[in-house]
Amino acid sequence: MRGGDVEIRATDVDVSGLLTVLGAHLYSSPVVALRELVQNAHDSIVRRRIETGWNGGVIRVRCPSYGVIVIEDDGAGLTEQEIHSFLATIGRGYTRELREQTGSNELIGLFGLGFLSAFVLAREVVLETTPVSDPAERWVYRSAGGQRYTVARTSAGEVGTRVKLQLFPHHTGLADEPTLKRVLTRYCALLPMPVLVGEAADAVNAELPPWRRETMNLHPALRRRQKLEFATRIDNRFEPLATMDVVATTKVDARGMLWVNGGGSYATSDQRRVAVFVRGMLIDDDARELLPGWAGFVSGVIESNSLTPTASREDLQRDGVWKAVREHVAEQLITGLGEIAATQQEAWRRVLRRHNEALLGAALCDPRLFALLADQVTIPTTQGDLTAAAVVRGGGGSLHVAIESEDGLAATLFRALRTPVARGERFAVLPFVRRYVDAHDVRLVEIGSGSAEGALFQPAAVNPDDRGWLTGALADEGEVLITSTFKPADLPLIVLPDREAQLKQRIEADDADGRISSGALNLARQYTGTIESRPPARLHVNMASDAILAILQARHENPAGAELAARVLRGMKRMTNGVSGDPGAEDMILALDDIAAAVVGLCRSGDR
Amino acid sequence: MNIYTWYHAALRDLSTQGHLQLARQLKGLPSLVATGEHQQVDAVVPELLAATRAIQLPWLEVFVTHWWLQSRVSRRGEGASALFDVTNAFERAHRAEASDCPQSICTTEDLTICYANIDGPGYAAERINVADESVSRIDPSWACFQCMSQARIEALIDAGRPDAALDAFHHASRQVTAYGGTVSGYLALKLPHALLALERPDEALNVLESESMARHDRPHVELAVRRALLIALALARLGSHERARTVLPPFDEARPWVAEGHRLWIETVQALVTSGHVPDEELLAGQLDTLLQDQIAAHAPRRCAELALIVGRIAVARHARDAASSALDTAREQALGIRRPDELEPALCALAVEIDRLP
Repeated sequence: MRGGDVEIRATDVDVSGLLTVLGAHLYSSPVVALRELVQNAHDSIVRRRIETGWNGGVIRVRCPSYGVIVIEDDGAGLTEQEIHSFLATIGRGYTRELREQTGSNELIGLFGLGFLSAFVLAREVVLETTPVSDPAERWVYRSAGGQRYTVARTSAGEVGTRVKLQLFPHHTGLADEPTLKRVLTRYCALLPMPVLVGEAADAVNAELPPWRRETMNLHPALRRRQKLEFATRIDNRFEPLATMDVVATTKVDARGMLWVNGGGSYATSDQRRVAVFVRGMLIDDDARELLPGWAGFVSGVIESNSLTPTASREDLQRDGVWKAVREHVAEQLITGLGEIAATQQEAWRRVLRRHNEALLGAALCDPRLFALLADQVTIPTTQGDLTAAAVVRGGGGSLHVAIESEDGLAATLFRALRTPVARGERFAVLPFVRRYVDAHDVRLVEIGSGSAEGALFQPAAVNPDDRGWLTGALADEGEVLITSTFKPADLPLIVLPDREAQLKQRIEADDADGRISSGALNLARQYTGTIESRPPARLHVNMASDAILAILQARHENPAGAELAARVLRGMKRMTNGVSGDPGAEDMILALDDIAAAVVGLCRSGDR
Repeated sequence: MNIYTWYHAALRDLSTQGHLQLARQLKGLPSLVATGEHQQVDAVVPELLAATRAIQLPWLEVFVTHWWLQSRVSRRGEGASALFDVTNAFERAHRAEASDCPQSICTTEDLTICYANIDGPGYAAERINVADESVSRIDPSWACFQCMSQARIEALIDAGRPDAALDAFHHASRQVTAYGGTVSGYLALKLPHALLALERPDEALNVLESESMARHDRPHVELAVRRALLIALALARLGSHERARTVLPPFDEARPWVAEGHRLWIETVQALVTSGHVPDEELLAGQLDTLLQDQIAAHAPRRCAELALIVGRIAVARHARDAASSALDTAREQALGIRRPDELEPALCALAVEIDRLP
């Protein structure tokens, strides 16, 4: 076609190439291709119900001989014209057109690609069909590869369709009835019409999911057991601990079940798995993104007719409906966890035991979860795993947390005081305790930050002469001596690093110009320029300590003894805290030197 | 060295040495940041830092710190409250044991973003200088070349030089392509950003709705939200208020993106309120208040003051005197924290006059 100087031409389609691409890449596994054929059978039955008011319908899948699978249905069948128009036209599906005409929500097919899946599995496909519109007809479609096909009339048969697949050699393993039963039990679990395998009389999907059953008269314990059994059937990786209902609302049609996995989790372990069924057919086996990121210990089954599968029908389109379903699932999960806590105490205890770390993280993500979990999860402390309330009790009304694991000196101090200190370096502990103290009006002592010092050390006055002597005897370079009182009184001194002052020193050091580019360094110095110049460590000397008081008294009565005693304390300080609060190998040598010198001095003073 | 080559090799090494849990957590950290799961980031980082220090892996320590700060400064928009940690990470990344880490330069990016949050225009000159210096030290095949180019474009916009920002975008894109790379979705979004700053919303919209831009939406949820926010703002500037209202991400989706998302959302809402396209103004008032509280908590005075001014104007448009006065108070208070508080004085006075005129 030409329009002015513009020539409009149709795109050529290489059917053979397209079939190869679709056949090889559309589906991730042969099982999915089989599912598509069962779905075609389902849609054919729905069509017959819609068009004739009939209410029957059975799908049967058999393996009559080696390497052959047959899928039979008693649905609407196809006329010869429909075979040409729909079966042999890629991208054109009768199902979609029927859905558009009738608005039926039961039909599954959408893209007109489902029948292609036969050629993913089979080197030859033979389809026999008798249309309900003319039961005297029966047609046989036959094709090897899908690109060319024949259609021939045959002797009349029952209304419906029979698809016979002569499988490729590499797919013959699928033609095994136990395998088919296992696969179809999973894929068709929610399909609202019977699917039978082989000559079995019972459908693989005979058992309704719990949310479709009438269970009002059942004892709650029995209902719970049914739900747990269903969960195990869907996901047998872990024994489920407790289930939660997902109930549809007027805005979101998603319903189903979630459950807490029985396998132990740790922190950010991700054991999420959600099976999503759309119109009764399993579409996405692992739609974990429908669950919140914090719910690594949860799995579930969701069914929704509003979600839209992608063309391969193995994934879901991330559209507005998907977002609404995700939000709905998160809400029901939070509600469900609360209900388990309130009504199933034994199960809840197991949930807490198995998933403590993950729940600690989850509590940070939603205020309702925090309210539920704040006093139930435990946090790791220097005295083992304790609830936050127990840490507060042990801390005399304050909650102590060490910001970094290297704060060994503080840990030493609190061990001496028998005060539990939460281990802030462990998963979720620091943000959890910060939120806990806000919610419970408790004082937080963050050991390793300057703010903790005010809570731990009370200033103590001392005369300038004694202060000067103590500084000379005990302080190292880079330490400012502060006289305080603190517990335990047996601890004579302690060094705390001043992180801001340390940073200022390093950023403003001359050698920084050599290793850091100037523009960025200048920007960093904008900040350190606001920090007051001061030594990078604070040496707190405990004026409540008998040792310190004795030394101060001795410096007047026995100056040599006071010097030796001070060297012992300085050696101890260097050994435990390092010089300037930053222990290193050389500090140990200096510490040993102090202590050895003091011991020698004391021994010799005895000689005299 | 390419960051990702190093990163994947480091994770493989950790796994083969038996640190499977650590490798898994390290692998998940960037996506927690990009999906806005900041509480999970805060939960996992202390443990990761302790582990990388315990097994003495200073490069991975730089990696963890950088992604933690990306969550805090780049996404949650923290300013002064993050300055110690940002500066500390920057210094540690430049020590001998970490300076060769491919991610060391990223701590420079964190530092510039932190200052951009505190006072973007106030520190624009220093930020441009840092970005120029950093970009000159690396070749365009590095991922950080694109990050620092973004930082440069943002700084140029803050400096009131959108023309130069547009040139900087094209220059950076050409260089990335010339080195055989692909322009990332994050850098690509700086083009419409610059075009909006140049008051060319029609061109910005064309870019934003192009196929090449849309392909970044998945798997990057964050980019999808940012793109939608920019589209909504472009539409609002073009007067297509009804479409802007439809495209604008809901409050809950915009809220996690404190650094950039709040501004785009509030600016679009301002146009929608003025044109009568916001059906539930009471709900909106609560939402705006929540966003301002987030901004105050982020210790980012410049952005907070500027957004409070817009919120004040929205309140004036709604004839909500109390809300307008409260926003003005917030703006005044926050303006004290910026480098040159007098810069905002005319806007503060103008809002005060508008409030006085309310019936």
